[in-house]
Amino acid sequence: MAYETVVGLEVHVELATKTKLFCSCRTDFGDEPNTNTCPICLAYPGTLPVLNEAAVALALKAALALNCEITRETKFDRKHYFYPDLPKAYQVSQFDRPLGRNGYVDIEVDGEKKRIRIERLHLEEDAGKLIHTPGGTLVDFNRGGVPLIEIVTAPDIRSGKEAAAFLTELRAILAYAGVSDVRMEEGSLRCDANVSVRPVGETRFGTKTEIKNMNSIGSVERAIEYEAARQMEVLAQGGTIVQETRRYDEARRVTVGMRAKETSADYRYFPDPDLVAFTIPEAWIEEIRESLPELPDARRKRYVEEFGLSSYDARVLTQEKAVGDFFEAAVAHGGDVKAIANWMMVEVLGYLNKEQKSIDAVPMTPAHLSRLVRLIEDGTISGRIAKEIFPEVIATGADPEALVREKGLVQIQDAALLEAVVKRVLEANPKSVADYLAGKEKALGHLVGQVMKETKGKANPGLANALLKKALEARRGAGGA
Amino acid sequence: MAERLTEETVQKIADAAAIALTDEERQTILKELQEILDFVDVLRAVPVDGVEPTVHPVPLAIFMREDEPERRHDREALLARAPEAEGGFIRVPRVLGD
Amino acid sequence: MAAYGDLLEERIPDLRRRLETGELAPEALLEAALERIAAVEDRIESFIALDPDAARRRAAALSEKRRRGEALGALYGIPAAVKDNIAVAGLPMTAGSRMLEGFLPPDDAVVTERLLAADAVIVGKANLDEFAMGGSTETSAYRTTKNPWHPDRVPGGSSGGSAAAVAAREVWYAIGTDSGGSIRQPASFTGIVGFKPTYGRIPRTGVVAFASSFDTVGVLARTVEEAAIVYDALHGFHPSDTTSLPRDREPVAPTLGRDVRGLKVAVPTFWLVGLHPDVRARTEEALRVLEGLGAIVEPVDMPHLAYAEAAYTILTMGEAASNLARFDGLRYGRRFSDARDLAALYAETRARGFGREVKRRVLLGTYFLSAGRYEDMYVRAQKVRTLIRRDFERVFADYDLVAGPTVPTPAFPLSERLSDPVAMYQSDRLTSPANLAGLPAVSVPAGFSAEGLPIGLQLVGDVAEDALVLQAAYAYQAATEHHRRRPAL
Ligand SMILES: [Mg+2]
Ligand SMILES: [Zn+2]
Repeated sequence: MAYETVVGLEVHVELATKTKLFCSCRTDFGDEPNTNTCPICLAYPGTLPVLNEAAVALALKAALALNCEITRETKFDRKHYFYPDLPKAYQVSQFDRPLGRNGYVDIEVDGEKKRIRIERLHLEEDAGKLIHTPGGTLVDFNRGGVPLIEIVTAPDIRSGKEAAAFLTELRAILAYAGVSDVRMEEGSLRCDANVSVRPVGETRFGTKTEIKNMNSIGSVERAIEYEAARQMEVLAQGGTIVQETRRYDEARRVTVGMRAKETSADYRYFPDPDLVAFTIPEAWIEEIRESLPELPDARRKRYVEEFGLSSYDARVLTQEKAVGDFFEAAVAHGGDVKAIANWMMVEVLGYLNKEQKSIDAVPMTPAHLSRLVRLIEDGTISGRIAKEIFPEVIATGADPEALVREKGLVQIQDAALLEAVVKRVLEANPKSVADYLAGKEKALGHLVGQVMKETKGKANPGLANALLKKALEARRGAGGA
Repeated sequence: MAERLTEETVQKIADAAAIALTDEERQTILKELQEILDFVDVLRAVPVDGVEPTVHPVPLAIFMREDEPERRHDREALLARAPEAEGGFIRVPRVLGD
Repeated sequence: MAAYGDLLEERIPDLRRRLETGELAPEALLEAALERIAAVEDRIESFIALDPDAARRRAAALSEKRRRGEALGALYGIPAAVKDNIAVAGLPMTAGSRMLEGFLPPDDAVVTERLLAADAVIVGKANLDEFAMGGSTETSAYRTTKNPWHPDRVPGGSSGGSAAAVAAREVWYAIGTDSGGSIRQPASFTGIVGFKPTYGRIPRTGVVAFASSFDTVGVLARTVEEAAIVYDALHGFHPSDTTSLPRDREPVAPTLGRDVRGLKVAVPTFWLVGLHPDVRARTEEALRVLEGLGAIVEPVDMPHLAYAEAAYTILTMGEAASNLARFDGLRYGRRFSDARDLAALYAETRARGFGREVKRRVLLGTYFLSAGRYEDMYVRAQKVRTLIRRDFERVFADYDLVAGPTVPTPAFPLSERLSDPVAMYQSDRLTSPANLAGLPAVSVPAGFSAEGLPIGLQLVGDVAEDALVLQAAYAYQAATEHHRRRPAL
């Protein structure tokens, strides 16, 4: 029987506020344990939550960027469970009035467009971090109380690949909107997946498992693929799927059952009486809507329409806002757009990838890239020279023009100068000359190479080519003498 | 009529509330809780259809804080209040990792 | 009575004048209080913690402040008690529970900050029912406070220590909390004034939560005037409690003495049934006094008051179960378990750290919030709360105040109701409506029972009508002598 995979994602994203959701402690990642704590986030008796306006604003921004309807009359609820990372033994969250509802993200997989619906987006506080040691569990509450948005998709995702495409696009949107730094490796974006399978054509859902502990978009994709295959295998063997939470083991690339889902945990939600229900003013929503920058989808369309880039290239260049910004700044400084796009995609992104750096961290400026491209265009240097000096330009921030001059890398454009070299090369390579004259055109390539070698790459290759041809044809005309 | 509590229900509540009960306590508590449940059962006589629930008794305006960090407490002073702390962490019995 | 006897009977405004001129020193006034405490405390047991040395340092610092010629606060040098569910930095805060034995709060509560900003002298932390859950102060894990009027009677609760300390002349006023009558009921039982402001008037920051949407900080004092002076020093919004309310338009104390002629007073018929005969008699007399002052007193029907206790029980227990979930023996307080299994550690700590009444309420609260019961019980009670608010709204459309007795009976014997929770809860039935509706309410001494136990009159105002409530209570008190009688100790 043929099966289809059904996936819904629950994504938690830490908002880029300076302070926690309900207290004034810093949200900085990587600080000494428990240095960013206070009686409020440690749930001392007598403490009360005070809502951070910036967190609400960022959550609204995220909701708008994800095309959600805003729940204008909203409130916070308490979600109860005992766990050492949850100081109050309840998480302040939103139950029946999430800030955002009915949004969507459009994705493209293998050239096909698809809309993934977002059921809800709500604001809540993060839990602390547990470190397990043989002697006991250590608790660090620095992260406890950091504002999160939880984004829940409809079960619209049909493969690991679609899930990866969704997360990639979601990340890009949230980063563009400035809502979060969306770093999965630092835990500022976390994703759980509800996975089930069903026979193709069936409209009811199969029993789902919840997959946790996926630390990168790649691992989300692999975990879903593995889990779907596992479930299909169980069903094919005549077995049944157990509703449970499973952990993804990245090293072994398998999912492992953790515990049978407690007979649907009762969180005893009720409205938090320490926080006031409130109405979000329409004007605030409009202000936030207007503050939204161009989002990746719109930018991609513009790159295709305005710059004539392929939709693939547009996607690569817009994945990260800073990369797109750099590209556009370089274009604004002048130079062929497609050439700049190619340099961005091949050399710049290649370098960043190799060095594990972000574009903001390199000394090269967009003006430098533009100049480098223009140096090629106006024939000052060859593409080969440009590639040679590029590592220095990007790593040190050296001005390419100055570098070219300083190193004497300006192309030899002077035909008189080159003619002498051509003459020497022809004399030194009688065999190639003979071959060419005998009709083996390939021999010309070798001769051009020799000219370049003689000039240490500075010869304008087009000019060298033309001069060689002219000299060779002249010999042919001279009757092979 | 109010729900008739059983020892099993009482134990479930106690588990959810994280309160250990001895067998004897479970029985006395059951009786006491049942009495209170019977007492509050009068509310069933009140027609409440279409009535909005009250969360706060008086109208309150929303107040939100500015996103400005403030640090008024020293970690060591706070951790000193924990029954078990170690190297800047609060320590608890080992829980299974997830 | 010792040499300080006369001083103990003086009122705050008079003391304040003498302290300001320097005729009386804060140190001397404090010594009078400490001597009184030493003389009666072993019989009354109002306090969980006393810190005479800290109080003496504070009094000396206040003396110094006057010598420097600085402006002096409204409560300058007047000794006070603070209920032990309110944080005073430097003093332990137990909330009457083993769970918080030895706990030192890192900060002052906002109400404490404001007391200190008004130059008050805090002598100690007053006893209370554990986590303010109770009506007799007997559920305290530490001691049983006695009623100064009768050693075998409860002082009421949960602010029983605060009330007894004021009634026994150990301090001039005390801070308490009132979630269902916890200031007014003990004030009624001990023959003093207990004022519960509008919900939110005094910020809750630093006050151990029992039921957040009910908990109200208030004042216990011997007279309405003194209660108003203290209230004026404490009320108003604070950004650390976003459920707190702005200040009253003007300070209340200077407005006392305003004419109450023509004031319309509603008396719910339901509040006059099922009363102890002496309570009924004193209430009728008190209402006649109000009429004598020119007020118009009329009976009204408030159909949902009969459901107040049940709604109050469900809602406060639900909130309490949630608020008390944080006491788990991990981050602060006591851990009553060596278990290396976390679930066992939680369950044992909470089983041994909480007393019986607290466990009872936490368990029931958990039940009311649980799936399958929440809509049917908790939400229904929230709706009944709305109906009770509407009853008050309707009455306040035509009347200025609602009046009645504070408690159906005078102070009951110690341990009588400890094992009868339903009877104990019912002693809140006249006071909890004001908490359900968030209304300002005061209990003022209205005479005595045949056995010589105090009985209180309750006046309830509309939301934010704190001043009116105190003005009417002041007028009543000015026309009566009940507050001048003092317990023979
Ligand atoms: Mg969540
Ligand atoms: Zn904090």
